[in-house]
Amino acid sequence: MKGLLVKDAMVVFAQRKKFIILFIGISLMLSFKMDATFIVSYLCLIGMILGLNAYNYDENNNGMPFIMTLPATRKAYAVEKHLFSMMTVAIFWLLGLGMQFFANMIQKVDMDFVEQFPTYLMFLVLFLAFTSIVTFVEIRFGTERSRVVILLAGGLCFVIAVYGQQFLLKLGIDLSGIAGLIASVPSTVLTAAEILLIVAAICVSAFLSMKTLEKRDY
Amino acid sequence: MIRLNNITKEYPGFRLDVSLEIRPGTICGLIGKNGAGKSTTIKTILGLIHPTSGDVQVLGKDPLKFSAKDKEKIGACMSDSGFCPHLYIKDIIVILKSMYSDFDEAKFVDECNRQNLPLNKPIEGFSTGMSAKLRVLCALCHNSKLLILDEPTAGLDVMARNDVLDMLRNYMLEDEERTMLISSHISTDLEGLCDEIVMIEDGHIVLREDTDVLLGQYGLLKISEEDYEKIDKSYVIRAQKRPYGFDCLTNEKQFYLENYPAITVENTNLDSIIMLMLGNEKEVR
Repeated sequence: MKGLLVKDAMVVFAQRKKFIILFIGISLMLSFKMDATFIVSYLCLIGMILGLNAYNYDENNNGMPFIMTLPATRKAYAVEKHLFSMMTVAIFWLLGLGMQFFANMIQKVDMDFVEQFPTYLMFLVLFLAFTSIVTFVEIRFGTERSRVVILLAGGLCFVIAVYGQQFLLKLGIDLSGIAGLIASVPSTVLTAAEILLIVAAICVSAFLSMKTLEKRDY
Repeated sequence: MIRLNNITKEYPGFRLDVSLEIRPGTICGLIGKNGAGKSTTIKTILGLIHPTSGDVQVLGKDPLKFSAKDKEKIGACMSDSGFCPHLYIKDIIVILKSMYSDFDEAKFVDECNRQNLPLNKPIEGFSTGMSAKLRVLCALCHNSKLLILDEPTAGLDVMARNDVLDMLRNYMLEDEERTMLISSHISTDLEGLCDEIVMIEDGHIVLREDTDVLLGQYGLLKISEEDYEKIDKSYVIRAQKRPYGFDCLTNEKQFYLENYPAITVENTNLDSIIMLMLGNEKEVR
């Protein structure tokens, strides 16, 4: 596991020229005083893309047969891929927080970080869950096909979000009662439930990745 | 060391069906045409594919159930698969050090310098020969008991091939307990390296013999049709029609030298054996 993490870190570090472009972009954003949460979410997204790239590089140039001969089991490989992509998200989230803090200091913006922290934390948790799910999709469908799958899944979610309620109303199902019920739940319970749901999503996607890799021929 | 017991693997239009045992301390060469099943056999041994049926034992275990420690005992080299091409050798050193408990960094760096492999250049800029040498070096640098090499010399010029083969010879000389399985479709590579040769065709092993026996006892009979009808064919293992009569591969050339002094008996090399065993011309025996 440690060796695989080091390998992926090296592969991501080999793309360091891209970091320069990234930091130029962030500097421009900060100079235009973008929304504070945007910088953090933008960096989380960059972290996710970089983390997922580690799998792309394994898969490209027919690298997988060799990588599977390295001293790590298929299970360890699957877990490492999830761990690595989530670690890059977490590192870039921290970087985002630091940059935001630094920018606020320079621009002398008065911002209460303690008050804002739960919002930032929710960004991190959501990105971790999304990263883990996308990691599974990449492992299951491969780099190329996973892009199509993610686009289709995104489109489906959009359609459900926009037309789902109308459709259910036509069927005589009213969700406003459920929404009211959720609103009545104490926020701590709701947050705990959300975190549980997200942890479950991470665990399930990692488990499915393990099962996928165990069955695969290289 | 390696035991394949009635292993089958089915793909559309291809079926591998092999049984094979490789003893500890031997160098076994797997030879055959492209698509014969060499890589499939090697991938089965490395646990990269799931056989349709049969039993595989490598170092006493099913390779699909190998732990990370088990995998450390194996040095593998795939013909067209390796580390991410954006990496440098200095990066690979860090990776191998963190992966293998017995990684010999000093030896690895020495060999890189000896083979003129630059540590500070991305491997995507390497020539075919340099990439092949690096892949082999990665397999040799962690004191593995078992080396499994799939076409390590494919696409290399004579000089690069010799360098790779020398690296392998030296590695095997360091410890007599080490075992190697190497596949190639270049017979001369295997002739000077291997203790035994396994020939594979259409997913089946068609010949397995010690190299000394192949080169010492096997012979090529070049005979007319008339002589072909007369000779004792007990030791003819393959015969092919030729314009002048027949080419016959025998595993007892001495028998024909002594009993049929009039017929031409030539010494064989792996190429001539391959031509007869795997040749496209119609086989008559």
